Amino acid sequence: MKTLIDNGYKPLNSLYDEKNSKRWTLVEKLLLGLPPGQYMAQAMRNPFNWVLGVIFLIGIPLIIYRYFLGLGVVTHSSYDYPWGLFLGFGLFVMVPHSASGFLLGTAANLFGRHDLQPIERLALLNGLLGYFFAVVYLLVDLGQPWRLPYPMFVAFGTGAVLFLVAWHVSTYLSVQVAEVSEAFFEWIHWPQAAKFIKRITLGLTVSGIILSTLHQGALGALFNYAPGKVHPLWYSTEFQWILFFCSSIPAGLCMVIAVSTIVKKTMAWRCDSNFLDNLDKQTISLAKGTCMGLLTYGTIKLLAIAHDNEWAYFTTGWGAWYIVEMVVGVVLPLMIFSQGIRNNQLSLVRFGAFVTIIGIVLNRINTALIAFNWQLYQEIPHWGEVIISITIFAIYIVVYRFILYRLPILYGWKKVEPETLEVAEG
Amino acid sequence: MSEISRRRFLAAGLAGGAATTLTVSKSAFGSALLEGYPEGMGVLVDLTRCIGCRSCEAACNKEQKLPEPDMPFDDPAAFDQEYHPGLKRRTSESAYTVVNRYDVGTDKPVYRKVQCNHCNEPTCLTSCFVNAYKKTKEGAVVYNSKVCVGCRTCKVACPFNIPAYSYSSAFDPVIKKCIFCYDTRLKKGLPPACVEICPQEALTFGNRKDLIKIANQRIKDNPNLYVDHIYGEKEVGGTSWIYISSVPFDQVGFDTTLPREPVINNVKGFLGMVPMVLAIWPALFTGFHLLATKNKHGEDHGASHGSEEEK
Amino acid sequence: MTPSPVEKCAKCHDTAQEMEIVACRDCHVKNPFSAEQLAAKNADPLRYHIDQIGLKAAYHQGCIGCHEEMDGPTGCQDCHTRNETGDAFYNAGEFAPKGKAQPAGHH
Repeated sequence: MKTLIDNGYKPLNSLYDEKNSKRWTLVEKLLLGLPPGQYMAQAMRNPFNWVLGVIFLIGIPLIIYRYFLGLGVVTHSSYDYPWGLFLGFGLFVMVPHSASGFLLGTAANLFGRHDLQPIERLALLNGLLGYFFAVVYLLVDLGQPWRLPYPMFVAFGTGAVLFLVAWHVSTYLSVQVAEVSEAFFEWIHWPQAAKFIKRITLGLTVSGIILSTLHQGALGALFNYAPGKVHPLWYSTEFQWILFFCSSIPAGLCMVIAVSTIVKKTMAWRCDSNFLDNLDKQTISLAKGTCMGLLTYGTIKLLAIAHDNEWAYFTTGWGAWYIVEMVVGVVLPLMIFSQGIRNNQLSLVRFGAFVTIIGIVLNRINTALIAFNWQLYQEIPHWGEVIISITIFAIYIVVYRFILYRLPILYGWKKVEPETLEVAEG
Repeated sequence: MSEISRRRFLAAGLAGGAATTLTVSKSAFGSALLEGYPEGMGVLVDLTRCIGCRSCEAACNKEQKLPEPDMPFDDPAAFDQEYHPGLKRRTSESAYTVVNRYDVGTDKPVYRKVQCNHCNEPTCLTSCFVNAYKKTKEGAVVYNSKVCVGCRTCKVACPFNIPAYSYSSAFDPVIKKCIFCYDTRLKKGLPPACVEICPQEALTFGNRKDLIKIANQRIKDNPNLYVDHIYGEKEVGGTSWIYISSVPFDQVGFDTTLPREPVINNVKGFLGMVPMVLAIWPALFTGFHLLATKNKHGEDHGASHGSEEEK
Repeated sequence: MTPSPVEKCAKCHDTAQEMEIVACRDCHVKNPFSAEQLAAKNADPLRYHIDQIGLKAAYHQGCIGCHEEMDGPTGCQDCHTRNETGDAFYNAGEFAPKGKAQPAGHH
């Protein structure tokens, strides 16, 4: 892409093709206004695509293999560890990191922080894709994935926490699709639909925060069914749901920082000045929010231990591992952020965001896999699970990139046409 | 202009809020079930009587039409099998019950039969989001494979780690566990196959309430023989399959750290909070919005939300 | 039979009586867990013997103890010769599974 831009290519960002004096067709929009040959050439030149190609070459047959031969061929078929990486990573890690949707939506629309608007759409897309792919991971993990709609329509276990998760995730996905669809409707030029979404945005945002509070917490409450199986340092009867909800806040905010960093480094050509010029300031704002979230999270983690009087565990190996998680997830990021924010060192702040993400990934993997069944044995995931998880994550990145290249997420859509006097940005 | 926008805002809020009301609140759990159904049956397992013949495993295998075992049921080598270093056999997709041997220093080894304990307040049942489990009035906890989605939460939930999953099946993997011979026997008032075949009557079948009395009588009449505890009487709210033993329970593979109340009590706090959030959050956050944006444009910010000049 | 000095037994067995026939099956029934038997046990609330074992268990529990002391037959097949039905039931002999034995749990 950079080569093309150096040669004068302007990324498609408007309704009207000035060179050919007509509106862009859908196919042209999909190909970013490039002739098909040039589009393929630039895709082939990209070394990242070669890596993706290798991953897909190995992973996609493996996924097909899983469906035709059963979960037994890609997992350890463990009766003791029913949940592996598909849920441990795909659900428990990806969902809190996709909290960016409701966080930025609430900040920008509800709390009136319109200075965050340039990055809001990126956060909404991050949220939508994260939840969508969490469902994809679920479809690979479920024994009978074709029965996924069952708790919605066929059989209702209304007292189960997972029932709440199922309903909330599906409802929240619709809310997020609606929120992101504003960009989509601009892109395909359906202004009435875009206007409609804009009008119900506040309602969508309020729904979003209600649903998110509950299902982020519910994912934590799932472990309340197995109190003895999760190590006491990672488990709290009363507060498990609060711990999961609270930690989703720094996770979501830091994902926005992380994704915007990657975007800035790899596809700056796609971003307009509104996005790029405001990015540093917004990053600092998000980092400040993260700090508040992390401070709170660290405190309530210690409160939970105090509540159950579990201090004695700190002298054990598990205690040491817990401290590692706290340092990586809370202490280190706070130190990095405070330095970065105070001195306006953006690269440090961005690094801090990545460290926070690792810390919260660690917390979820610990709760779901490592500290789970702590009194039994440790289970190392089957290589099939690892490869499939990586493959699905690669698909997620491809879809993410596909949308970012096209829809007006990182840039404002220009609706200017010669006949009309109306120049409405965005 | 402001009135129209307020109406629009309210409509949008209700529409969005209606979506959230699709979530169903928890059902009420009557504490009447804490003692189990009055006519609930159970089985008293007396570890002093079991000789490890594994006829119960064979009977279960035939009654439930399970696949061929990997070794004969009378092969004592089974007692040395470990599915993981240090861990004796457990229930599996082809074995609803196993008998394990424990050499605890007494002159004869102690044998323990493992199977679903058919809890009074089954954790598997409360965790299932498609209601696949049912506690029948006869006491059996049975499973409906026709609605099971395969999420395996019940396996995470069971405090005894009993349910197995048929991972080997690609198109119809289901949970496999002891069903108290409900379909073939318990429904008709008959004892399960394992109880019937046991030559030593290590397994006593009857009304759960009577079995508690019997167990207490055995302990009382033989104070030097039994440990003064009925395992399963109170653990996780009480189970239908209860145990008495001559050696401490933790020495023969029982989890003695289980709470005495049903596991659902751990989850009730969160579940009860759900409708509170659904009710409080809308007003709370709408309030935040109105407070946070009140003076931005000189008047209620909500008024200018519907306008195009926004962006 | 000498009268039992223990109070709780004396409640019912206060006078010594000679029984005509003292076969095992006179007290220990064949199907101790049938619905009729369970109902009979509950019929008299004052009944002491609520834990009476069935006939099969009475034989095994009653006989094996002495066999162990006197070095008599104690194994299952020492008294019950295995036939084809038995082999099929226990998946033994010619019905033994072929292939490597592997305990299920994970792979």
